[in-house]
Amino acid sequence: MDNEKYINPFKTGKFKNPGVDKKTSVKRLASKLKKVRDK
Amino acid sequence: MSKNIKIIYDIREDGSLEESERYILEEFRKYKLTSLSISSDNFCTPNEETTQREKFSCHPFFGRDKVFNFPERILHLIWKEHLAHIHIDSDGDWEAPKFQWFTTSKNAIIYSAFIEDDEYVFVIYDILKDFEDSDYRGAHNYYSEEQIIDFLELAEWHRMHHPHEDQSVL
Repeated sequence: MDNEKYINPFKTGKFKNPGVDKKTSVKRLASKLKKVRDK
Repeated sequence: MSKNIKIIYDIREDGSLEESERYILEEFRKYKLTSLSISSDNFCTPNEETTQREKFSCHPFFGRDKVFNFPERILHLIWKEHLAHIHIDSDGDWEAPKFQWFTTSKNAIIYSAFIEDDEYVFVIYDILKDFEDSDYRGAHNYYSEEQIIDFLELAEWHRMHHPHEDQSVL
């Protein structure tokens, strides 16, 4: 990895932060757990 | 490093992945590949007491990389599943580089890891944008004990059932 040449696409505006907040994370977690428990 | 790296993602129930998320996961793979080629002694994260405090991250998009250390009561389970989080620069805020341990943000990836045969397997659960890093325990107060236990159950399922047709592989 050439750190000097790395261009962060979130800095250039190519991408927007896709991150979610805690509320969404916890909601998703419950949904994913239900899915595996039901298998 | 003789093992391959596999990235599994369990971000949404339907297994979908946005372009920006895919980019982050592909860079995560590069980061782990480089990190593990430097040292695989502590395969889940670079050594938190030496390497991360004394060196820059091997990938400028990734900062502090840490196995959860809360709740203390279930640390043995956290270590068993290697439940961890790594700070990322998905706001494009980082300027002058700092040593890896001191490179933090409110953005983080939640993941677990295990070794199977010739593979290091990393399972990605979430990309967060409001991960607290304001105090020495900050990140570790983010989820409740019950929620960490739920993540551990999910991590155990992925480890015990790997490979599984319902696991989305990058």
